[in-house]
Amino acid sequence: MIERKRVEIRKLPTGVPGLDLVLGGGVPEYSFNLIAGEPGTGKTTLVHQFVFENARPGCTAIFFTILGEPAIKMLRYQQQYGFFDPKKVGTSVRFVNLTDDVVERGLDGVLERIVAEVGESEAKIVVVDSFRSLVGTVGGGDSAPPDLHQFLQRLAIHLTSWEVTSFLIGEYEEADRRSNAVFTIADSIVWLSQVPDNNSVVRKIHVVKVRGQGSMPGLHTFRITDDGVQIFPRLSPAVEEQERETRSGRASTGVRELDEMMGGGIPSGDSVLLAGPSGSGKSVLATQFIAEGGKRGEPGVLVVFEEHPKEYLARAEALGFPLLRMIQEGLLEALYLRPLDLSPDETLYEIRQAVDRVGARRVVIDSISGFELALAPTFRADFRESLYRLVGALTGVGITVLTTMEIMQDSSELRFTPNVVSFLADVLVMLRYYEAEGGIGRAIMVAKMRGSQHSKAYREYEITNRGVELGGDLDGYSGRISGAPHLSRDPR
Amino acid sequence: MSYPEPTAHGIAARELSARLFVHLAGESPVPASTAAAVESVCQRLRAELTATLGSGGASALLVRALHLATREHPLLAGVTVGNDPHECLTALSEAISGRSDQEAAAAGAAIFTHLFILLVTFLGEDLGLQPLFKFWPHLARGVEEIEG
Repeated sequence: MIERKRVEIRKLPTGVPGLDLVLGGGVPEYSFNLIAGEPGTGKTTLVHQFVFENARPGCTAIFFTILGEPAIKMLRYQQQYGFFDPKKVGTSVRFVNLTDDVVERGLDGVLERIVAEVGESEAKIVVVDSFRSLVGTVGGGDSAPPDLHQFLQRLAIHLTSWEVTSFLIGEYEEADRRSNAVFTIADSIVWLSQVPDNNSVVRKIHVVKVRGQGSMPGLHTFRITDDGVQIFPRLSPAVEEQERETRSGRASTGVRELDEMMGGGIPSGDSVLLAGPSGSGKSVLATQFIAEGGKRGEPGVLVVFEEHPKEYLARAEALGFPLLRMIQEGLLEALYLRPLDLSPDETLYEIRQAVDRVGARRVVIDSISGFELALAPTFRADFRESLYRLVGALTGVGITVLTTMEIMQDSSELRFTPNVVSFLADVLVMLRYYEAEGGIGRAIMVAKMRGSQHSKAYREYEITNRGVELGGDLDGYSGRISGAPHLSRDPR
Repeated sequence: MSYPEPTAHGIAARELSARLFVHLAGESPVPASTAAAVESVCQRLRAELTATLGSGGASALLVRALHLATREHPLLAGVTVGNDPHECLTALSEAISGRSDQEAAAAGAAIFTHLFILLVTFLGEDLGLQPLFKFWPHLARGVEEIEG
């Protein structure tokens, strides 16, 4: 067998959270890259992050500006971002304007200037912004100049042979991808876009190609904050499975009788769907589940979509569940996510960050309908998939997840899962009202537990000032599913 | 170093400009020395700014600085920003010849005062004053003294 000694391509960190993962480890050193997209999508910001992450004495960067956004404006605005280090400017990062070169001498003049500047400074990172403006100016409009292909070949070969990692930034549209030489020559193409949808705008990034390494396929959402571009990789449960952690044992719900109905509690690492109509005590049970974790030294994350955590925590305190103390002791983090333009991956990112911060073993998502509403409309169409990935990513690392869901209940029918999301749940617990003997009561049942025996009983419960407390079995009643049970025999 | 408001901003820029002139032309320059000093500073800064901002960007800032300086010193009315790399400000010598030493020096310094204010306004102190401190690094220490 012949032993092959492959060239090892170093991957440079991008400085853009999430992007290294999407690219398959980072930007290949000495590669010739295209960052493309429509105006305002964050191309320049993303490349600036790379530049400031990597530039240092001995690895200097030159940022060539050509027409497009005036350099004075670019510098003015880019320095607002947290990653922009003015101390590097003029030393490790140089900004060079090529407008005069392109206007006076065309592509040859630009190439000569880039070659001269790179040779003189021995820069290891080169950016040309905007490459589209360069081509447009030389070509006299949108048409590419006849010598563009040759120019690109010479530029790419020169920069690579000088051990430069380079980026061309350009305002391109989808149609350009079929005919433009730069798309053929580039080693990697990263495409940024922003899509308006029902009063929200979702930014997406797509790694069209990266030579020599496996990138993460698909579109990933991103956000531009004061710290620059932040990408939320679209992790599939399959990816999460690689780090799957199996936990044994049971997680107590905080309600002894409910634990008994489940055969000792929720199997650790399972997902529980707690479904019931409004006012049935879903949030109270969720609070008890988190508080019980605190008692047992199992940190938790509480994700609240519908009301502010302050109110949520105050109600917990009133019931005697010390969630505030848990927060102070680092056993709990309460997240409030309600922007209405979230992506599922951004939600997951926020939750995972909180999980990592407190070392959570339990997560409560209250509620699914609130989560659905918080998503940008474009993601609501794939809500089930989003939920599947969210829950799968958490249970995949051994976290016990309890989600609440409001369901409609009418007098003749009990619809277990109106959104057909029960397939996500390893454990399905149903709460409901029933009418008997002129009064309204509440009943709870464990409808499903994957791979585990559980009680089939319907039990009464009350919401007291100590939380949910279970009562007797409605065993003697018929017509329980209808909501109007009647006593058919003496209860046990 | 910080410029919390335009007043402090202007004071520091004015002081910086004055120190630059003293450094280049002495305490009491005659108009001819002032013209030579202004032209020399203008050429160096324009070249440096052109490298980063392009000739259009650099010229736009100089034209604006000259315009603001002319409002304070009307004797600069005939001066323009030229395209010749060897003559940054045209007709400057003619404009200030025959004026008092102080008048000429104040007008010349005003051009750079406004240029420094514009640079700090648009690019911030770190980036905006970089071209100046590249040629005259001792002035950076001067700014710290001004700022206290």
